[in-house]
Amino acid sequence: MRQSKYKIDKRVILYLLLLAAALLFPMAANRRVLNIAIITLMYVTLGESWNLLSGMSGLFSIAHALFFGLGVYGMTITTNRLGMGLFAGVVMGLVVNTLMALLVGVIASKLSGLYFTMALIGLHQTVYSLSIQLIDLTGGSMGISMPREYLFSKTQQYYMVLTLAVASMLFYVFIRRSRIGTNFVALKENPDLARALGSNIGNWRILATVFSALMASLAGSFYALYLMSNNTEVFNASISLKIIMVVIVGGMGYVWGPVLGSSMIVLDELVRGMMPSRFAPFSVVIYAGVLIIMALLKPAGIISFFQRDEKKTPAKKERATT
Amino acid sequence: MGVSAYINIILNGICVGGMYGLMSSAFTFQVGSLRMVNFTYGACIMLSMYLTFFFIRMVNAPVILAALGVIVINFAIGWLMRKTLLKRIDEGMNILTTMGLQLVIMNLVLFFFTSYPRDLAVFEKRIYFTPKISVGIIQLACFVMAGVILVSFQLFLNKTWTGRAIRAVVQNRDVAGLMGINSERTLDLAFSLSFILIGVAGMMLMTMFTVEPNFGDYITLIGFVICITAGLNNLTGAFITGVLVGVLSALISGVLGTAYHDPMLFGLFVVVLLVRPYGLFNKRKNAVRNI
Amino acid sequence: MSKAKRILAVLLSACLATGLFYGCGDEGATQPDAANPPAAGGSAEDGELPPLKIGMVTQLTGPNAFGGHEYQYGAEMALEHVGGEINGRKIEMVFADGPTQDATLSEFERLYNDGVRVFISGYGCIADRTFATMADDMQALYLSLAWDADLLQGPSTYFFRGGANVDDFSRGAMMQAIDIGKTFLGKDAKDLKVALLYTTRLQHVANPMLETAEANGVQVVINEGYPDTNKDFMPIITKLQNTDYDILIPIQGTPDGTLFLKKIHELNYRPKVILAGGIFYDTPNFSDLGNEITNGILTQSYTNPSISEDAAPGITKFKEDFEAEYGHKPLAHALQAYGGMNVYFECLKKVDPKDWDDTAKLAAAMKSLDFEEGKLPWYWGIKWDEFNSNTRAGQMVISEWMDGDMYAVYPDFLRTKDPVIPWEQ
Repeated sequence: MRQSKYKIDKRVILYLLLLAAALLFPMAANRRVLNIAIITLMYVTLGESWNLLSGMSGLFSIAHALFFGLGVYGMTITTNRLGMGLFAGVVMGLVVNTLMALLVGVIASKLSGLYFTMALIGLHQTVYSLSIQLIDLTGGSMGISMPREYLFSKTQQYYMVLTLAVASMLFYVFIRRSRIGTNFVALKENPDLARALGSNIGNWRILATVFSALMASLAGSFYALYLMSNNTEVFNASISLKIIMVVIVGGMGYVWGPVLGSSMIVLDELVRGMMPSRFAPFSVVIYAGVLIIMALLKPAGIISFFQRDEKKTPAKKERATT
Repeated sequence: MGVSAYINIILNGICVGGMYGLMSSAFTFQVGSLRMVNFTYGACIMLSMYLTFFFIRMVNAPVILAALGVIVINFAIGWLMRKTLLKRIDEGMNILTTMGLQLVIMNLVLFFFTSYPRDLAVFEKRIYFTPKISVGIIQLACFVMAGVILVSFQLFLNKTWTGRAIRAVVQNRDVAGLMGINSERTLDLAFSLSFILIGVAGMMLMTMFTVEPNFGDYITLIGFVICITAGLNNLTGAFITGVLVGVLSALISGVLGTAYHDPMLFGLFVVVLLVRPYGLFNKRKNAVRNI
Repeated sequence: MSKAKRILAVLLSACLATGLFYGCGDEGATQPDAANPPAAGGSAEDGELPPLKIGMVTQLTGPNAFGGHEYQYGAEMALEHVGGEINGRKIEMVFADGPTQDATLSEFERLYNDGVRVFISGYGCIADRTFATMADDMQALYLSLAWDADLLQGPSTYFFRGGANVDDFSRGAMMQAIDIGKTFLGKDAKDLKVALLYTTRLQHVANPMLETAEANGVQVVINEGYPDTNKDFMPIITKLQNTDYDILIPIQGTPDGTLFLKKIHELNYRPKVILAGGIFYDTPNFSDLGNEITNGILTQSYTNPSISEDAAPGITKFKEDFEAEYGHKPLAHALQAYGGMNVYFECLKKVDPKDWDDTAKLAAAMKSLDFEEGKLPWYWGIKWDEFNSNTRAGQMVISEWMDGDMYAVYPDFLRTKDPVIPWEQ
């Protein structure tokens, strides 16, 4: 990219302004607004995680809640059942997720496309039914609570998740600009060529899956603090769908994509309260409708509205990876 | 438990497996032969079940008319979907748009029929071989139908001109066009036809099960498992895999206990993916790069 | 050029996002401030007090919408029966839809932001674990009807758990099975064989039953948990057919229970005694199966609308009005919400309506409630232990289905009809 020093400075100033606004945000917001902001930022983190796996590396994960849910369960089980602290809970989530991602990654390294998606669904179903059945460990369908001393105020939660979101964005940018990211993109764009040029497809795919899972795991650990309990719902398809939507609506393959797309989450939270209960199913219909329309008409996401002059839109990149 | 108990379990497993085969047949055809990843699949079967219920119990239509209605509506849905959502063959976007549509269907059903579970309250007659060994008539019919439909679809694809045309179009659209095949129309027709299978499966399931808006999730799951385990583009294989899954399910439930069913079945599925990623019934070389 | 445009884009969307936040911030600002609920002073003194809002976040959509609506109707009915006001101040119910835990939590925050400070559980009580940790910090009065007692982690000022306990529920069912064995089958606990069948989603109900069975020497010859998605009951039924047992205890949800019962009917197989412990067995879905299937099935539940008027004053009026208004017989869930609301009304009666906005006073009044069993329409009494868990909600009811209707058969003082065990066609 050709950039003059001056322009870089301008962007840095803009980012700093945004960051400052985000940092000062809790002072101007009430509890509900903060609550929405927390959820939104969490989905930004999850969105970046999905973006890394699917947007950058082209592995389509429609069961991303698997990694997220394991993060939640790692946290709750460690603090409640094992009686260890928060840090141990986060580490537990990361360790379990690394193992799971390795398994998924190994499958992804052999195959791709649909097969990867299916393997993820199979593992997801296995973990989900185990989370219900291993009642002594997981609390089953009733769930278990986090110890009450770990209750943070909404403001504290906001800063925690803001840190997570910013860190995940920086991580995404870092990976994208590094050699690793170049390999990821090469695998997505043309796996045959990448293989021919001596790139070890399998290992890069495993690495992408692990990175993505770790990011989702951190978001999960945070969500355990937000919910103060676990619940088998964290494995729900609706969470996977929201993650995907955030990225697709925003713009796949761009670091700002999930940030722009997370406006959908804000919209969802606002709409839900306004719908009369009889018509509540329609909020999901609208939600899914937006996804369909975006995917069909603007596969490049909101971000593409602002960059008409750039010839290369991600729409062309989004050819199915095989 | 005696020997007869196990025979009964296995026999019923085979029948249920046939039903699984029928359930996943349309999916196998759509993904395997047409390369259209249709995630609305379970939701469409669920919708067909509700439509059956609606025609028979709420409108009190005769069974024949009800069946015709369900089939026509399904054909129309298939046509519309192909014309809008699945216009481009792009796996990633197909997954997304059909996932979205699945939610739309589910929630519209929820709105019109509420989440109260619906049941036709038909009781299945059973054929008794011995006092302890018996199979249900509807299940048996499902088994036979699934076998006939899947095998004849496979024959249709392999032997008839239209079938070959469909395969040619899927493999290379441009060349097929040069050969004088109207590729768009062929695909439209094939996809819409596969929705008739969905309608039939939905009607059969409605006679056996209670339907609720999220009923389709499980069907989609079983459909995936069978379709991928068999290997894409292999309908006969899908039928055999369906039966295998049915028997395996029944044996896991009967011998180990039903609690082991889901973890073992889906765990095995992942093992199959690791060991034979191209499917149980496919040759290695033509499967992996298929999609 | 492109950079400038991109910056513009980011700025625009930032403005949009801020606008959205402020939009709903303003909406919130017109409502009473989060920290200071409206004090009923000043000009409002001689005028009308604003109605007290009681919030319920329940599952109005999603797979459990039916139960969620039962809760809603039960609460509405309770408010109607009290005339919409207590001591001259109006009361208003505010319902919100919470099909999942995170939606419930978000809606809770929304209602809280709109000035609602008094809450009651919705159906399934799916986010009560979270509220149990938060209620004290938020100074919001919360009456939970959740049955998992372990969500209480210590003393609380604002969080009350008014409903039954899952352990009492399961132990009661197993003790009753032993009792039935003794009275009707002539078998001692040591000789009694039971078959336990449950969906793993309800494993927490099955586990205390197994413990109770073990403690009393009852043999559990079949202990089968199946996943919620199970569609094929043949292996399980074949097992049942080939095992010798006295009482079948199914703990099932709606779709699986229907399938199971239809299947055993098709197979013409009828266990001697079915003592169900679970939600499905007192729903209309169950009674829709027809008398041939349902007759004689016993079901253990919370206090339900079939109990006797003598022990639960007001239950007949509730039952009749409910059916007249909503077109179907109320379920145990509706009675739960109805009873829970009545607990709130008792609490409100003790506090001057001017002080209703002070949740600390309401919480103190709540804590001081002391009702013996049989004084409230849900039969249960109220007496809080040190963790604010209701100690007088342990009584369960066994009902029997006879020709399409449910009659309480156990315990004696709630009985509306004598049990027929085993059922003869």
